[in-house]
This record gives sequence, structure tokens and C-alpha cells, in this order.
Amino acid sequence: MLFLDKYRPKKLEELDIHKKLTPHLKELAETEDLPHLLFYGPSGAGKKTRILSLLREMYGPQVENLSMTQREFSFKSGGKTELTVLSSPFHIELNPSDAGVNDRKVIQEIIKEIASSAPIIVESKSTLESQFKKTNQKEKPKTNTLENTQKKRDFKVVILSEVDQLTKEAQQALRRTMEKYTRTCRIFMDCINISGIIDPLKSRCLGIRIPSPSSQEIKTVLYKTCKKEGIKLPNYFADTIIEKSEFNLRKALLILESAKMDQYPFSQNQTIQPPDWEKLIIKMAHLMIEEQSPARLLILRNSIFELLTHCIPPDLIFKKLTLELIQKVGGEMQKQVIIWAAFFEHRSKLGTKPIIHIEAFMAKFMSLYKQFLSVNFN
Amino acid sequence: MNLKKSIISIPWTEKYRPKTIDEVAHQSEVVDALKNSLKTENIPHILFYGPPGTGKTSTILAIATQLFGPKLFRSRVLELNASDERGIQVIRDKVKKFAQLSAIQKDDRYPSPAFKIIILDECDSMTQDAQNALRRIMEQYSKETRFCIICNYISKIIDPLASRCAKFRFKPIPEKIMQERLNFIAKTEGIEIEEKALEALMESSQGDLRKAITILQSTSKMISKKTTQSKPEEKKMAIEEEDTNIETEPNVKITEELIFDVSCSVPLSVVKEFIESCKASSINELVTTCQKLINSAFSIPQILLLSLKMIIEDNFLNNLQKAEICEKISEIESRLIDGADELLQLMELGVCILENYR
Ligand SMILES: Nc1ncnc2c1ncn2[C@@H]1O[C@H](COP(=O)(O)OP(=O)(O)OP(=O)(O)O)[C@@H](O)[C@H]1O
Ligand SMILES: [Mg+2]
Repeated sequence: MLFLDKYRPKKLEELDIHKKLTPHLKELAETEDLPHLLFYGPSGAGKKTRILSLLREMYGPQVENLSMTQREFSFKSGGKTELTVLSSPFHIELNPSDAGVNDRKVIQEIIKEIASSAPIIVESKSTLESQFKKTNQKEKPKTNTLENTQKKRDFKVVILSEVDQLTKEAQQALRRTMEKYTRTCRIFMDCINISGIIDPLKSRCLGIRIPSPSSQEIKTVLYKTCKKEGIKLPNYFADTIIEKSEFNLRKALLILESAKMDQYPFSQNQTIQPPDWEKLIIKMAHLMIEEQSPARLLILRNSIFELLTHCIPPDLIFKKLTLELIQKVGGEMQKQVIIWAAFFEHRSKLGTKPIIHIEAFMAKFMSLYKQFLSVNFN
Repeated sequence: MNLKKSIISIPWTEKYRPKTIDEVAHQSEVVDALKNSLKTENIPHILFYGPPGTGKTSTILAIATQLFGPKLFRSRVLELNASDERGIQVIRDKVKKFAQLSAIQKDDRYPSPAFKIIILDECDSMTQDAQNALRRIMEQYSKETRFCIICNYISKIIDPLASRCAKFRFKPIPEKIMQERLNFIAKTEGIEIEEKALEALMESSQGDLRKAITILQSTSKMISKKTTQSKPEEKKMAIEEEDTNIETEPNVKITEELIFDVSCSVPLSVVKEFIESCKASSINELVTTCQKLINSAFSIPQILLLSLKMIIEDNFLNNLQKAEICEKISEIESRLIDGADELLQLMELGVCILENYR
């Protein structure tokens, strides 16, 4: 098991980052009429871990009794989709954006169904069963031992991840559901870009900001992990990891683990290799600076394909490439890089074929850079 | 306390949803018109539009209940919102079926006029085709049904549809009225709010009453814990002392700081830092600042709003420069709505500001 999963905190008090938030969340966990929640912040800031710890605080250790099922949902309006569903007696978690263009239907039919039904614990199992045709894995029959669970609530929780990835129509479809069925259900959501969330949704929840951890906080977590694993982590190496982590705790822990496999004990001159996709982008930036020609563009196209087939999101490609190019060019060109990256990345969000827009950005850069070179050095 | 416990646990926004149109705060234009309709026992087709949390859904539900009463509600009122499939065929079928039901039943305690109300809530995402179909349906059944169309942006509703309705704009709730409502809720719940805290609450909710109520509720949880922790005798003492010295008793009251904490508002200092880094006219520094801002997870749309304010108030810039930056901010805001990457967009804004400060 990865360090990441092995030492993932389960309780609110175990969270080592943003300790300031903990008392607030504890208060919320205790109230019976808490609102819907929207956790937002960059990736690797611990949003999901926090949501799950909050759940545990609310319902006790039973929420860890997770069962994962692959369910096939057929829509009344035709068509069907398969989704992974994680559930405990108190909550259910699924990712509607996995259904792609069908995300609206998932919310209109499935989430609404779940939200409007009585809390899972009280609900007889048969109703759920008849609603959804399961494909895999039998769930263990739920025992009706309400007494054993420490905390009883009138509502269940639905966790929706990455709501900023949902289409606007799907987000719209959540609106009234969130109001009508608050009695039986609370929705906890997380997202990275809060600007991708429509206003009416933001209006319906309490936003909870989860910033990236500070270097100090990352350090604390690194040392804690190392202590449990019996790893000796020299201070200078901890600093290197933090520097490479981009304030992403997940990334920091992954780096620690792979560095340990590379070479242990750690040494002063040990380097940390960026992941392959980053290496490729660094190389691409280099190729663009070296020569500006249609032939080059053709070579680069293959790299873009490679990145996309490895599921590197287009916006990440744009960002990394931009940051690399900025380091390689001077003031005026830097501005152009930013302006056009912002322009084409936005376009790629409106279109459906990211490769076209990434390529257009590269072509634009090449032509501007060539002009710049000929004006300044010819 | 016991009484409160027995009430079902629903968030305050639902608990304090207006039950009658008289309770609807601020939207007097609509309320007056609807009150009139209670007397005449007739209503036209209506269209409500306005920002979230201003009372649109509440108003129509309240008037429908007042017209028909809870008993007839289900047979006389059909609510279709964005959580319902609303393709052309579905609308046609549902409306047809519903319109054919008889509307003669009466509840003596309510006017129960002889028509049915079809509420089409959250219409912003309804396709043009569906709206066109709706137009024909509206005509077809205009005798026995009244339609109420609700949306945030009236531009999303096609003209032929909008022109068939009496239009009402729901305005953002002004501060004074919002304060009244919040004070009323606070009083009912037995909590106290500092004047400054109310202001902070206004600032962070921007005319959205629902949001303000949610923040108020969440904040109140934080103080209620603190007060119950202190011993009862102490608390009593504190309350007696209160009018003589408010400052020494921060725990029982909702303070500005607490509101800031809970609402996650962007502090002005953050925006100042961003603009300062633009003035330094180094792209590298700008990039670092932007990355830091993104990591801090502050809401970028809010940062745009605050930047706009600061830019407009900055006398160092001439009008042309200000206009240029404002235009960029508007472009970037709309790009963000399309889902564009926040870091890249923020950096572009930075470049624009930087250019104008040179
Ligand atoms: N004018 C108002 N008077 C009293 N309470 C209001 C008013 N507007 C909003 N509220 C409060 O906010 C909650 C939400 O209001 P409502 O559902 O009517 O908003 P809406 O205009 O339909 O918003 P949306 O566009 O997001 O659907 C209500 O339950 C109530 O607590
Ligand atoms: Mg509404």
C-alpha cells in the first residue's frame, strides 16, 4: 500500500494540515441542521480526506464500512451508464462526471432518487435493490442495529467529487434537489476551480476553503510518515521534496516514496526526477525554442498525442508548457506566452478536440518567437 | 431549548423560507401584484427572473399554497425544475396529462380558483426547442392553466415566451432589508450579531439572502459551543453586564472576525499584494504571486471583483488605462465561467495590469 493510503488520516483530530479548520468542522459535525458543504481548493490539499474525516466525526467509525460496487444505471429517458459507487450505511459517494455527457441524467435520476429516499440506514434494502440493477459484487446484508451506531441522524450524506467537472446542465439539475430533500440528505461536494461552479449552487452551500498546505505543514507530515516507516529523512532532503511538491501533499508523499525506492539512505546529491509527462513537456518547450518550423510542429504533434493518450489533462499541458516557456524567454515574449496560453486554453474548453488548440498555441508561439528573433538579432 | 430540539433538523434556509407572500422580503412589486390576484382569484402567466437566493421559488410556492391550500396543492400545482427531465416530449406529455385533470374541486378555506398552476423553475438550462414547444403548449392550455417561468437570466428565455408573461424582476436584497431579516432570524434563534458582523455578512453575500442565512447559521454554531462551555453562572453574569460593557463579552456575539472566517471572504490585503506584484513589472514575480494565489484557494471571481474596485479607485491610472483593465477583467470573468484555467487567466490579467502601470 502506498504511504498515501496507509497513513491517510481518518479522524478530524488526526489532520495535520489546516488545523485551524478542525474546530469549525467539529462544530458543524455536531449540529443536526448543518447545510450542504462545498470544499474547494487545489489538488493535494486534502479535501477528500477532510470530507471523510468529517463524516466519521458525524456518524462514527461505521462510515468506514465501505462497500464498492460497479452499478449499471438505466435511465428512464433511455440509455444507461455504469458507475462506481462507494457506500456505507450512512453515505454514498459517486462521481457523476464519470458518466460524461450523461452527467445531467445521473443527477436528475440517480442523485434525486437517492436524495429523496429516506436515510440509508432506515431504508429497507429492497427499495434500493429494485431501483438499481447491480452488475457486480453482492453487498453484505445490512444489520439493523441502530443502537450500536453511536450517532443517529435523520439524513444521509451524498458525496459528489469534482463538481467543477460537471456540465452546467448537470449543475443546474442539482439545484432544487438540494432544497427539496434537505430533510433526508446533505450533499458534500469538492472542486478545484470554484469559478467553474454556477452561482445558484454556490448560493446553496457553505463554502469551505482548503488552501494548499504550507511548507511547514508538509514537513510535519513527511516526518510523521518517515517516523512510522522508520525512514531517516535528512532536513536538506525534506526541503528538496517540498520544493518539488508544488505544495501538493499527495505529490510530496509520492516523491518521498519513490525516492526511497530509488536510493536509500538519502544522500546530499540525490536528485528527484520529474514524472515522465513533465519531462516530455520540458523537452517540447526546448524543441520550440530551438527551431520554429512546420517540421518541428509535426514532431511536437506526436508528443501532444502521447500526453493526451496518457490522460494528462489539456489544461495541465497548457500550464506546464507555459511555465516552461516563460523560463526560457525574455520579458516581452513572456507576456505573449501568457496571453496566448490563456486565449487558447480557454478555447480548448469550449471545443472538443484539445489537440487542435494546443497545437495552435504552439504554432502561435513559434511564429511570434521567429518574428521576435528576426527583429532583434537580424 | 427543548422545543428547538424537537423541530426536525433542516438548515435555516429552509426553516425560514417564507410561507406566505407577506413574509417575502423586499420584492414589493411582485408581492403587491400577487396580493391583488388573491382578491381577484386570477393570475396571468408570470415570469420571475433574478439572481440566486432572492425569493423566486419561495414566492411562487407561497402564492400557490395561499391560493389552493395544502390539500389541493398536489392536484393543482405542477412543479418542474432543472432536476426533472424537460425535453420537448416530456413537457408535452406531463403538461397535457396535468392539464386534463379537473380543476373544479374547492377547499373552502382557500380561494381555490378553477385553474391549475404549472411552475417551470430554473429554466436557464432549458433548450430553445423546448421553449418553443412550451410556447405552443401554453397557448393550447391557456384556459385551464397558468404558467410560471422562473430563471436567473432573462436572456436565456426566448422572446415569444417572455412576451406572453407578466415579468417580475427579483432584485438583490438591499442591505437594510437583509439586515432586518437576519436580525429576525437571529432573534428567533436566540443569537446576537455585532453591527460590524452584519456588515461583513452583507459584504460576503452580495444581496443573496440564502447565502447570508447559511453563513449566519454556520457561524452561530461556532459561538453556541463556546457559550455552553462557559459555566452557566458566568453566562448569566455576562448577560447582565452586557449593556455596560459589550467589548469584554465577545463569545456570545457573532463577531466580524467569525463571519470572515466562516464565509471565506477574500481579504483586501491579498488583492493588494497581487496588484503590487503587477506594478513591480517582473513577469517572474507575477507568476509566483499568481501561483501563490491559486494555492491559497481564494475565489478568483471574488478577486476579480475586488481588483476591479481597487483599479477604479487608483488615481495613478488614467481613464483609458482603467477602461482597458476593466475590459480585460470582464473578458476573464466570462472565460472563467466557460471553465478556463484559473492560473492562466489570472496571469493574463496580471500582464494587462502590469502593462498599464508602466
Ligand atoms: N425575499 C426573500 N424573503 C425572505 N426570505 C428569502 C427571500 N429570498 C430568499 N430568501 C431565503 O433564501 C432561501 C432561498 O430562496 P428561494 O429558493 O426563493 O431563492 P430563488 O430566488 O429561487 O433562488 P435560485 O435562483 O437560486 O433558485 C429561502 O428559503 C429563504 O430562506
Ligand atoms: Mg429557486
